[in-house]
Amino acid sequence: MTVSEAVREHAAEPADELEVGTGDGGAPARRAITRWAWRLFRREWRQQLLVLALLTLAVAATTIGVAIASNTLSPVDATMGTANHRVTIPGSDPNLSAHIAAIQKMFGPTEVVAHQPIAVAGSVATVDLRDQDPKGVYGHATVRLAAGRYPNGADEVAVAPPVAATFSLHIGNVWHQGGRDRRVVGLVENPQNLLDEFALVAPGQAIPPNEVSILLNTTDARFRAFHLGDVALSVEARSYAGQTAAATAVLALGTIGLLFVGLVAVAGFTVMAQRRLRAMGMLGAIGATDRHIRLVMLANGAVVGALAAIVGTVVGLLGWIAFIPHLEGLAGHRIDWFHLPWWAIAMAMLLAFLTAVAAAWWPARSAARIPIVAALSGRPPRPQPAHRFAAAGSALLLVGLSLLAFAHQKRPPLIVTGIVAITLGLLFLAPLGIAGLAVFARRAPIAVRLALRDLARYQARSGAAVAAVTLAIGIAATVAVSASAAEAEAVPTAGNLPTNQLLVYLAGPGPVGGGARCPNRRRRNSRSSRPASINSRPCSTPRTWPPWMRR
Amino acid sequence: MTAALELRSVSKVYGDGPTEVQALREVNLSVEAGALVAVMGPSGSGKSTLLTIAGSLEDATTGEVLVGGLTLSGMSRNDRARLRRRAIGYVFQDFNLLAGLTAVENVALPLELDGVAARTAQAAGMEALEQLGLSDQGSRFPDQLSGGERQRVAIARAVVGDRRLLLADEPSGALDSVNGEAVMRLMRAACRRGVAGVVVTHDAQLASWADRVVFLRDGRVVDQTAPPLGPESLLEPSPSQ
Repeated sequence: MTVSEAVREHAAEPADELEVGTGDGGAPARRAITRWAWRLFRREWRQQLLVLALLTLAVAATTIGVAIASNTLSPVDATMGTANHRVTIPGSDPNLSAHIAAIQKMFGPTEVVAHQPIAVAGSVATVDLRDQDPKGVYGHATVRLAAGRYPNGADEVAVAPPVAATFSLHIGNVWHQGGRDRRVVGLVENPQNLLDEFALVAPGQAIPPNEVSILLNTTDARFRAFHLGDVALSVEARSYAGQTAAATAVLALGTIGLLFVGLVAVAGFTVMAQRRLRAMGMLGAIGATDRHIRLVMLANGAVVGALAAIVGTVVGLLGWIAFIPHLEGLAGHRIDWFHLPWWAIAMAMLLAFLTAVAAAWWPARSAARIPIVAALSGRPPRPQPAHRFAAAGSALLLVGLSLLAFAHQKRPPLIVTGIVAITLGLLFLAPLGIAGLAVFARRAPIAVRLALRDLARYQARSGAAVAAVTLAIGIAATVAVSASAAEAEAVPTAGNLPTNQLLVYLAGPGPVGGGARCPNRRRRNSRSSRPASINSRPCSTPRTWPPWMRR
Repeated sequence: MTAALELRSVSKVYGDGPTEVQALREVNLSVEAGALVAVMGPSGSGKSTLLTIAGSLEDATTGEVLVGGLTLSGMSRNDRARLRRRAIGYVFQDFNLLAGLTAVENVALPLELDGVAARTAQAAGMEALEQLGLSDQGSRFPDQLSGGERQRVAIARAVVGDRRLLLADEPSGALDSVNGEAVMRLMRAACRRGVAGVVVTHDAQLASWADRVVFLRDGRVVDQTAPPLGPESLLEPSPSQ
């Protein structure tokens, strides 16, 4: 059978009779259209650089944002490691061993850590002499050897860098503390809290313990059902809610950013569709259906979205890796490169892809509706009457603003839905604005007149662009107004200082003197090794602080 | 025998009120399979409109258009699209090949849109290109071909896959006289294989390739040459005998 015969057989029609069905070519047709769209993208990708760059930037920023948000809080608790409960029993408990055995019997694998405080001369802070197995089942994540080795013998110790700095210790030195001499054999740190001031000794060497922590994994319900006589237990349970909430909030912000990018993309794809109008007319002339013509633009949008999602994620991950050393210093704990909320990153990629496809959909729909003859001659479609979507736009705008008002800046679903509604509302209202501007064209100078007439003539792309600009200004204005309102309403708080610093409040009319604490004054958080600030001014004049002292 | 193309009292009006333009007025035309009809007339006489209505690219205001015996007026957009990819081939003055697709992919596209697998469609496309002497140009992109070659590719695309109606709007308008003649020769050859052809042209010399010439003025058919008598007419007795 020749190729022509095969084709003829496929057509399955008698030679002198035509039967016209409703088939649209199925998968081969879609493949052919997608191939053409891909080739066009390869030829014309420079013309889509703005949309590509904006989408890539949005995905990269979201990736870095969710990574920072979820890693600012330590993924593993600094005190309980990978356990989800920490029970603390006072060292003075006469039945300490029996109680530890009871807990171990009830909850299975546990890890016991003994603590003994060591006073630091001239400071209210203490150093925690910690008797802990560095390879413990739960606590291993809270101990890391930085140099030397772990202590093995009774007279050996490994100290954390802050302790080494406080006592001027180096590996090989002998540390005289608590009436004992211990040789420093290593430097250790708590990767989950780099400010943790502790000294690690071999198991059984923190005697007598001030308190004993028992790390274990169990459920809250099971733990509530457990009773241990009249011992004063202190119990902590960990939660992952903070990390998830932070990542969700950043993802919500990323979605809002993608909405803005989506509007710009609508304008970009509309320009692209108008450039390809003749080719799409030709496609229609040789038998492409409306669906095929839509697919040309949708495939282009999908390619742009997929490319931006992949490149944006790679750029975001590289940026994240570069930022980790700085973030570790800021967050005060070590950060695992690949401890990332992958679900949020995948969601950002998917949103970018969907944004590009959705942005391409409107121009695709318009292009498919243009009569073939008009498309072949390159004539743009006649603009729709501006008032047609104005009512829907106004309603969406009102709904969006109402949702934002009800959200009280605290409910991400309402905020995102509200901004989506506002965006659509602006998109629908933009033609009315453009038509309004065009009214002034008649009396305007020639350059302005041409610009306004062009805006009105190419309503689809100028409408999307106007909506994008309006949304960007709206977001900026909303953020500025909300921040100012929050600043004005916020209750000032006292500064948080680390345990080795002391904030001394001096009150009274004179420059230096005794008096009551002034809790309403905000102070700079002096986490660094700078000396504690001393207020030498009266409480009644809080606004006279120099700017660098205010948070 | 069913005519490949039939226009019955077709009129076309653009615009309304003061901007109304009557592009076609009560045009009747019938093109049999294997016949090549040239349409001539001054600018604005409705030649291109006639072609676009015949090819189902736009609707007639009144009248009836039949392609292969099927009335276009009752068809949906999708049905018309399918009719175009199965039965109607277009050749335009400015070639209108799709950039980004090679010559053979351009030719094979109507078949692929109709659901033919890519490999089979491209083999058919290659066969069509070979018939037009372009077998070595199949892998080239349109912007790598000369004007004459592009128009030959466009003709190959218009006839590939058992098309019955070939519509050409000034197919030699952007070509020199040698290539213009070559294009008409190819169209004539296609018609010899049973395709019905309608060519819009300003060039009387190129129109002489046609079996019949239809003259349009102000949207009306003002004249048409009679189909030439074939050799078989010599066997028939004349009315006087």
